[in-house]
Amino acid sequence: MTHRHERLLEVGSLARVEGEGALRVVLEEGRVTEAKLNIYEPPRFFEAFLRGRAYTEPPDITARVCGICPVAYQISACRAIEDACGAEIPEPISALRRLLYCGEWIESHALHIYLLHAPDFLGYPDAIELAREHKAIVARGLALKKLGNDLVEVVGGRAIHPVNVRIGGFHRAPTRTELAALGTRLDAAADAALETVRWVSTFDFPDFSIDHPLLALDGARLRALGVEACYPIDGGDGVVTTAGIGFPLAEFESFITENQVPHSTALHASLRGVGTYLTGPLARYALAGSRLGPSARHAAAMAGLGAVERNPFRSIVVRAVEIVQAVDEARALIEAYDPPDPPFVPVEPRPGRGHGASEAPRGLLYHRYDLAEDGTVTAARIVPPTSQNQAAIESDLRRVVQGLLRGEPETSDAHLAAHCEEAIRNYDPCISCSAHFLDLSVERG
Amino acid sequence: MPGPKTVVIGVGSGMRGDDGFGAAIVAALDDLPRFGGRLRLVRCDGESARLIDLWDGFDHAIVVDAAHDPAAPPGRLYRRELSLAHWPGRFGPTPAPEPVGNGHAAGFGTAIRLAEALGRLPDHLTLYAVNGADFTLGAPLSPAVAEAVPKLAARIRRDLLNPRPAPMPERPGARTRGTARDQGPVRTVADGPGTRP
Repeated sequence: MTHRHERLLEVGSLARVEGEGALRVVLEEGRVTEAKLNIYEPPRFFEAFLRGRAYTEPPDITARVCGICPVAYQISACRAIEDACGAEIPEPISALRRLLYCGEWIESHALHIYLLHAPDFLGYPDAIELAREHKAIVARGLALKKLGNDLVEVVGGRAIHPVNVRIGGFHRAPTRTELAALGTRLDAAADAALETVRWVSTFDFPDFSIDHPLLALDGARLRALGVEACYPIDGGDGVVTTAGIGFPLAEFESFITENQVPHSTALHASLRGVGTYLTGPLARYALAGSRLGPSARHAAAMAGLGAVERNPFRSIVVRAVEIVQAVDEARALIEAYDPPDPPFVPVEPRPGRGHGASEAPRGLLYHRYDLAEDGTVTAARIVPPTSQNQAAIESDLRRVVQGLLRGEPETSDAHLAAHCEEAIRNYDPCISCSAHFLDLSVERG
Repeated sequence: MPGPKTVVIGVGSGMRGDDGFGAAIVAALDDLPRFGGRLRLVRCDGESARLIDLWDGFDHAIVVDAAHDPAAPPGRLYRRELSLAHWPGRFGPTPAPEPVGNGHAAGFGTAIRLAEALGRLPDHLTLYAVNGADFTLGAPLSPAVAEAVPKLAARIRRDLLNPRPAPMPERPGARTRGTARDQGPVRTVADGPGTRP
């Protein structure tokens, strides 16, 4: 006698991710037939209400997309509009932007590593229980996070949704004295960042590997001009992938297409001729690891990372290495800081289209604006990293569940759901750009 | 003042209707002198690690937030006192774990539990919450919640300018001292004020 055996795993509200999402996995006869990351936050229509606004407004408006990575939105918006207007940003202002961005990386990565992701590997339900037994470790993470916040506050004028960024640069340049105090704290943070790499590298990681192409920002034009390109953080002029496809930023929308899927209010992105791809720390490290500074390279080697890391569970190690890089860069930028005067360059509007992108902590963030002659925004396009990664996350979910069932067919739904949530947290998804609690229902046929 | 070094933290977003109550209280108190740094008024999105950072170094933290209890009238004010001397357990239950785990929504309850685990609670913590009615994006404060702003601001102003010893626990549902005319009912509660939307 045969019978149909069907199980439905539903996670109503994902835990320890940024924003609100859910998970649905359907199993039939022990096989995964469906794995969907359901992003149910309502659409926010930012692209629609940017239309008709002045070209000076998108940095402040789009900063409101996210409280964790507002700097990414501001810088991508600035770069796109400055591209449309043909503005060149002087190096001292670019350096200050990179310093601001380093603050956001430190803050966001420290939050994810210590409060959201590490409990998965150490058997704790959350960071609170982790803190009860490892107070000094969590305190170290919170100190790093606070330093990142403070850096954003001093340069950006406010830790959340900074107000000091404008088209062409900044409203006000911080003084040397204001930054010097942070420089001293960054010296101590360098040790804390290395300790973070040591700590996470000792975690027990599942044996898992992905084969999606990886995609990150690149500075091909700069390299052609003989300028040594930096690790991709605050910008680039092109995109590179491990699939052998590269393109200038202006062609982003010809290579990356977005499609609606019924189960998500986020669009699914696809790389032309390839399909699913991945952006974020693993991609940056694989494609630009050689451009990390000496401290970060040393940290990566110490942690046992090779030239390419394809185990998403080890993305926590790459994030820690990126904190080392951000701290190191921030120290150097503060050391060399000379306040730009004036702190911005005038940017005059002109009709046309501009493209801008930067590497948000969780992956590439692309903006495009069309401007009218008077600078009015006539069209806007924003492609956040989480929507780009959504298909890759679903692919991982399918494999994680299938792998668990292969080893232990009768494993409980709770066990499966917990591992699915961990697999999702590998990507630090920011669903609000695009939650610690699990509602689980099981259907057995 | 001079009393304990105090921080008033207005939690919430001014762009989500009644969630802007905390910000409105901070704005209403902005004319207060800062007593050489012994008083700080600050807004916060409510993210737990940021809350802990904000009350670090202060003896007394006054946290103002919005809550939502559909069974209670909008605009109703609640107060909960947490004193380190009575913490944890002896002053009533700790706030229940929040059904969240994200950086956006892990809020006051997580902050309390994490701070307690880290030994970073202030000596005394007062939570005020208003029962909100409308948390729609872009909405103003609803009329009942807007009416509660001057009432609670006057209460906090009075307590800051005329500090008294930290109050002892009061029984649930009790009214706080003060006249009904200038303060309205501020209910002292032994448990959490409800969940934020």
